[in-house]
Amino acid sequence: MSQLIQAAIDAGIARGAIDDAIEFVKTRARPWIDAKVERASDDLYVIADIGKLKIELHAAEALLRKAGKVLDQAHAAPLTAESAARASIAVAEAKVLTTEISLLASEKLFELAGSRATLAEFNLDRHWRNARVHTLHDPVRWKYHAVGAYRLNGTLPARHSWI
Amino acid sequence: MTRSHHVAVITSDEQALIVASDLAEDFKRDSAIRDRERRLPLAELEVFSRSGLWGISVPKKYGGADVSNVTLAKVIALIAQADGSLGQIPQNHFYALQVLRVNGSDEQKQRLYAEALAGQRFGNALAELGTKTAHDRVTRLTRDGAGYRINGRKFYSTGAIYAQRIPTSVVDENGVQQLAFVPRNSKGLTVIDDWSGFGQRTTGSGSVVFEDVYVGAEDVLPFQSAFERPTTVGPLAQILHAAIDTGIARAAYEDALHFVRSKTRPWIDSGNDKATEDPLTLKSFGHLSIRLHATEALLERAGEILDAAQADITAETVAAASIAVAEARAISTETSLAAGSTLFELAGSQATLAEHGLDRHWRNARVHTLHDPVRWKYHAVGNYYLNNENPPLRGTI
Repeated sequence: MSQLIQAAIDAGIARGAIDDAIEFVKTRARPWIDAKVERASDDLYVIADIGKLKIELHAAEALLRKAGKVLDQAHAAPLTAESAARASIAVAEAKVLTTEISLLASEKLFELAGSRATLAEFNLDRHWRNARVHTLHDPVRWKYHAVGAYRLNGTLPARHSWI
Repeated sequence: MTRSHHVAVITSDEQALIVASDLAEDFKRDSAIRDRERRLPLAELEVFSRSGLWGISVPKKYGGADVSNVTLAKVIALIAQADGSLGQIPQNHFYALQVLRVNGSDEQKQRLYAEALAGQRFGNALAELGTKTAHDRVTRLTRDGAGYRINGRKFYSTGAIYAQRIPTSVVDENGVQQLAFVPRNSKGLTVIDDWSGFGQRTTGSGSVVFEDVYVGAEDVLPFQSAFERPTTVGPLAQILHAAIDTGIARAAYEDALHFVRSKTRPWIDSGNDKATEDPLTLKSFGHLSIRLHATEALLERAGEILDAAQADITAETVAAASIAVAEARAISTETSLAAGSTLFELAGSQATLAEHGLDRHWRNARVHTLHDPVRWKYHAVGNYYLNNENPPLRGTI
């Protein structure tokens, strides 16, 4: 449950960063000369990058919703080792994606928005700083391990508050 | 330490590298504090330019060491590793010297190269806010007797606040871009310390305002023509940017190693007594190490290809140099960001505390790599290898 909330925080940060990226690109960014377009929002690479970010965000949010359902199912009946493990793994999968997209979106925002977005008046670096600090709550590399161990070897994840 | 006013003249590549290594040790010491307090590195810059390093690209004919671009890039990477801002501040100085090399008259070269060898620093006033693209400039150069007047406003003027001359891009009455080496103390010239970027905090990349600033004709060089024929100005400018990010990447990587060895606690699921035994940490460091070595190798390769172009300037050699440098730019962008961020995943929450100042690496990498968008580097490289298209002639590639 605690892990679900942590993942939700990161999904929220990611969504905020992507919204800010879109806003800045549409209203303030200047088109790059080699793109040969009138507006920054017409740059083909920017368009593709926004597409990718949105896809990753939606995947993370979808896994988060799914994890919530698995957790609800686990709570609807007496808890077993198996149902607890299923819930833990579902949340771990969501947490991996929310970690990745929160860091990716908050970092990519600047490449898409341009140098101007780094000025203090916009305070846009707070998304990356918040995502980076918050996603250290427990190291994501061991989430990949837990999911892999469960799927490959049937190993139940450890029972502590970090999974 | 008594400060000598003597300016050294460096005479070889080896000497340049030794001096740069020594200075880097010095500059590293208070780098985190300067970043945290946004303390402008005035004293450090005095030592830096007196070391002779700001004159190492001056051609031998004019009294300089004319070091290879491999060496120049390595020097910048060493300084940037110690302090990202100090690595970037001389970038425009070397850029201006390159414009001088390709477009200056013999008289201008004699005079301005001598200033560089005497420890004078050149800043920059090129970019402007509010124009259609970052390449569009409106600051004007108008005739006034034997000289000219400059009117306009610049931003992202890295180094201007620290410089004795500010090479300024201006559009003359025929719509052609010139580069005016404006003395810092000119009447009507105001440098404003309004740079607020969240990284590279002490580069002084703020505004320069020109209100009817007079400049002598002898201080004006053709600028646009450096991009109307193949020259090495573009790839030289860009290899320095690649060097800065390569240095930042190594700084983040070294700090990550140090922290994990000395402070990080093992993760409960790893089953290890020490964080340095975490197999997933080892894998991550392995990956980072490989990417960093590739980044450093591509920087050196770019320097070699640029040296070849400099020795024999043709459309093909310049294109090859631009592309080699673009590859170094792309990979150094990726690696500096990855190292700056992964540092924290490996070092743990404790590494985020203000006292360590470790976030400066990612902040510096993120801000500096925006100089020109990396997505268009991949485009240029792909277009060259797939379609044999030479990249455009610009300062940004």
